[in-house]
Amino acid sequence: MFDEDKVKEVSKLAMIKLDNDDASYFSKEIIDFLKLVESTENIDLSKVEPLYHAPEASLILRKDSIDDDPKNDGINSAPDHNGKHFIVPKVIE
Amino acid sequence: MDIYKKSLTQLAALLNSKQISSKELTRYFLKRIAKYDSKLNSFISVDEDYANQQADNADKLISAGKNNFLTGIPIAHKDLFSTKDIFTTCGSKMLEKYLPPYDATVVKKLNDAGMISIGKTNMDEFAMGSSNESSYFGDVKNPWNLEKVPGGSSGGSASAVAARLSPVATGSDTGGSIRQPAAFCGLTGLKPTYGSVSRYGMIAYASSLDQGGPIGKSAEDCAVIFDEIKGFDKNDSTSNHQIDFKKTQLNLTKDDVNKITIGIPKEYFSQEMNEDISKIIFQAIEEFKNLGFNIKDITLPDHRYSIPAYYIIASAEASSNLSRYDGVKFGYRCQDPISLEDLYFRTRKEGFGTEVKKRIMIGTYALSSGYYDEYYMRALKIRRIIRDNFREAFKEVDFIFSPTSPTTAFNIGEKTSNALEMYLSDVYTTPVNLAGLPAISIPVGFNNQLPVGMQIIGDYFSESNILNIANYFQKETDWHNYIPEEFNHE
Repeated sequence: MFDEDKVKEVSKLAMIKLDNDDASYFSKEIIDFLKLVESTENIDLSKVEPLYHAPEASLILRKDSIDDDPKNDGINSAPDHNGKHFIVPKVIE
Repeated sequence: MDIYKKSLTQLAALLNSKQISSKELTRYFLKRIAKYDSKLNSFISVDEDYANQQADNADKLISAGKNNFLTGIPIAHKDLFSTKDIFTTCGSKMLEKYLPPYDATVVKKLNDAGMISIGKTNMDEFAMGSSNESSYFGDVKNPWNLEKVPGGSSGGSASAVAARLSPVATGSDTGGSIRQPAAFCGLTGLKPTYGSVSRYGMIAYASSLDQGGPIGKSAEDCAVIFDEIKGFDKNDSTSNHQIDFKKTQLNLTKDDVNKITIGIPKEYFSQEMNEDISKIIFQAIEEFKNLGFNIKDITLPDHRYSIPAYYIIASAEASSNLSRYDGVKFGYRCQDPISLEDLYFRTRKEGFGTEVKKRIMIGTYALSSGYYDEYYMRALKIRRIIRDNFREAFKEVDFIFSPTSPTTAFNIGEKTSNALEMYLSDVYTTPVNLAGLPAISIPVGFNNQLPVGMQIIGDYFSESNILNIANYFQKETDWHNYIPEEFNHE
């Protein structure tokens, strides 16, 4: 059964802080959505395999070697960094 | 000379014959954006200096005779395509100030072809929406009626092209996000076969469904852009190597037409379908019949399960994809976090909008221990049934016609408080994404002065044929040439 407590639990897994108002809003919205999902309950899926990707094509593997040296300039997009490392609040006391 | 009405082929001819320079053409469209976009909000950012600089380069190439077909023609990119050192927001506060360190493959290919990146278009936040009302940068208006939505999530691209602020645009389609806004704005929009167009640098929503493609004024324009962006890409692990690398030839003959059978799925014209729109779609089908196409009734019996399956799968993938937004590596970070946990939780609370948070939580729930089989696995099995429905249909017919959307563009605000009704706008488009098939939406008429779109669905990698069928119809009809009155001026 989905309810406000469940929303609070899920929001912790999803790492999203929720206020009480948020919990009440999202639980109502998600309960409504799950009613829509209930409409699929009468289909017999016991002999059906899941389909993860369509068209079903095998992935192409390449050699495990560096072919294009990334400059790692992505770090410049970080909200706080020193050019080499991401900076976050202290984790270890 | 009414440049805003010109097709890509006509613009290429003007550039090649030096009747206009790329710089002039670029300035012309930048001017239209400056003049009209305050009414539409279709662009999130326009980098005039960058566009002018690209145009200068294009003019040099044209002068030296080293140009490609598309060199010098402006294009607008949906703001989820990464553009090197140009803001790429994905319609979210989370990425408001994000400058990607590289170009998406789609952008790179179009840049390499010499196209001018005229601006980044508005969209539903992280492509989650069917009305462009979930954008952090405000609602986009439909040029056909400024009180109506343009559709979503590529609503900015569709609105911009419909108002002729850009000759063409890129979009992305996870559950209908190219086709539905194309339909709402009277345009042609192609969602290619999954794996045909590289997803590298396209900010991920649901990776097994996302596919980039063009939104244009006609099938001919879409064909030109599709030819340029399709192809295998080693940077996208799901890029498909079966793609046809040949250029699309729009050369369908009457004899070819007589051999083509089109299926009409009876389930797609049920009670959820607006009667007036149904009538317009059937008139279009009649027109195709008169052109020589064979029409046959078919059944896609399980299509009604697409919406729940789609929203479970897309949300599950989104919950995983969007876990990267943690306030550490890029994007928004909350003020003064007191711990790492506080940083994660508050960053994601403040950085994401309501719809995105909802879908992340639905996805997290569907993937969580004890619910995985009940929701996620079940949805994947339904996905196979839907794919098999299409497989059976394609044994009997070559292509399938359907409405693109059950309604025309609805009022801004009309469906924001009723999410389920909003989700049902995607009822005819999501099955195509679940099956990974290609489909195009073309305009086929008007209802209450609003465009009606029809969808042509084909088997895997049949884009060339889909474009040919759409083009054949557009050569005989005029629906794609209509321009909203308010924007039909220089």
